[in-house]
Amino acid sequence: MLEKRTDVEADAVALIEQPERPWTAAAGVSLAFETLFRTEYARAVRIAYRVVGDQAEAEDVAQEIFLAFHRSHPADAPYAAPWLHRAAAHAALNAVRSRAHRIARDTADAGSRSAVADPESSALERERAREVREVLARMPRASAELLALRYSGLSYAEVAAATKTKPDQVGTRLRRAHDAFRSAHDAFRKEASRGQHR
Amino acid sequence: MDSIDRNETLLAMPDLDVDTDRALSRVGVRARGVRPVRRLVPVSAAAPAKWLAAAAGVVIVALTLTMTGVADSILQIFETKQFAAVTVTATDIQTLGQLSAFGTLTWSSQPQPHQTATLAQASAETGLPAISVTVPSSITAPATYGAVPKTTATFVFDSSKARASAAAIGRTAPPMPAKLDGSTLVLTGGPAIIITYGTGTPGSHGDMLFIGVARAPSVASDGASVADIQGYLLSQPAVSPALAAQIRAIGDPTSTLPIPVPLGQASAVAVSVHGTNGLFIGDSTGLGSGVLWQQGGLVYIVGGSLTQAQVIAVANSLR
Repeated sequence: MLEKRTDVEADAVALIEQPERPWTAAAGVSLAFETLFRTEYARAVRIAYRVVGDQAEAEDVAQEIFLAFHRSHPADAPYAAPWLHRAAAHAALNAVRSRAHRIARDTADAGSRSAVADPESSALERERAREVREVLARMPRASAELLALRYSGLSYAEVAAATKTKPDQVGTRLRRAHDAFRSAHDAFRKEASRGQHR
Repeated sequence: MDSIDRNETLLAMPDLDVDTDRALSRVGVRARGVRPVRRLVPVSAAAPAKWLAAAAGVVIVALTLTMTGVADSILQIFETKQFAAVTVTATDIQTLGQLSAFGTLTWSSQPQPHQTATLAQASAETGLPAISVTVPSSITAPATYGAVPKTTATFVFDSSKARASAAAIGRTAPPMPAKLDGSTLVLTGGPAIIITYGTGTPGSHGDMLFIGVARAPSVASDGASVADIQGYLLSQPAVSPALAAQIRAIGDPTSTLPIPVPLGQASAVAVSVHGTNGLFIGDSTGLGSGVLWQQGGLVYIVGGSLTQAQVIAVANSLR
């Protein structure tokens, strides 16, 4: 059976018949969604940033997960915030993993950009971001998500809610995640060192 | 420094300046087009879905390039009534692919093709007439039928996106006119019925034939002028003067859909189908060809691994 499209068409007509109506979020989403967005958007960006290391890309990730949530869930759902936190980490990891094969090119791009316009501190920050991104991409997903959530500024309780674990288990899981990060980082450094000496 | 300290140094979060108001405006615009929708019957074949999405993209780009007649009007419809071949080079094709970088395309309802058991079912679902056709004897595979519901998309011009995209490839985008920035096009395509015979893949038996009939694609605008849209897009440095001239030369841009024809790989000629003007496109290898025409508010396409004469004969046999 086909769905009825009349609501979509009505929206399209309303949209073009009311050009004076401002194109603000209020025109496109409910107040509940707007409230949720204002509360959680920056946090979602920070979680995604901790993985991708680029603000514009982190904002793209955050936009997509808010739209995905808007499509499928009520904005006032009690699970909205933890859902968004987990989704931000998950989607950001998907983004970096899917481009793992382009790492070499990213490195070259980063080098050329830093040489052109940015001060040394920005170049160092970018290098650090790239290193973190690559290490997180190599780690077990659950551990990488845990670190992204925690180091974007979420509390233990919020991390527990996002990962559906008990709050008193978060510390233990974080320690394991740190061990996994250290191992992946050591491996990354060794590879980088071999690459330089080649 | 122990490992956790070292990790924390690496993972420390820099200060981010997040403009939530601006982000909210952006997501609000996109959210208008993505009201929760029920999924249709799962698509059984991924390849046709991809092909249709790509085709829809080309049509939208073409419509965007030529859409006109909306100046001084809040709601004006572009309706495809005829086709014109526009020769494009490899560079042009690349540029056409980048046009989405000038704004945000949001599907209110993505193309959702799915197979139907019978032509009658496809007809019932789409409200389009059940066509009958006579096929050449070289077509030995049985017919399969598909339906594509009506599809709507909005395209919102966004100067910041245009600038960012140009910067990403080391170019400077021409300034987007203020009137264009933030303006919206509503693009509508379908519904459509698809009939296919054979797959055309090596080793399969017989020739391949593809027949499509769809409600003519249309465009509405919230008021951006023709001059704004056409002038801005055609002034992009990546659009060749030859392509721009061809687009500008189209006689009736309110009803003519330009069809990109790759230079050296295909050729196009005007033909007569059912007593109306059609556009025949054949590839240079002789392996495939197709014909497009519009009649009674419906757009028809017939194509396959057939000769021009065979394709035209099939087209003329449609009832």
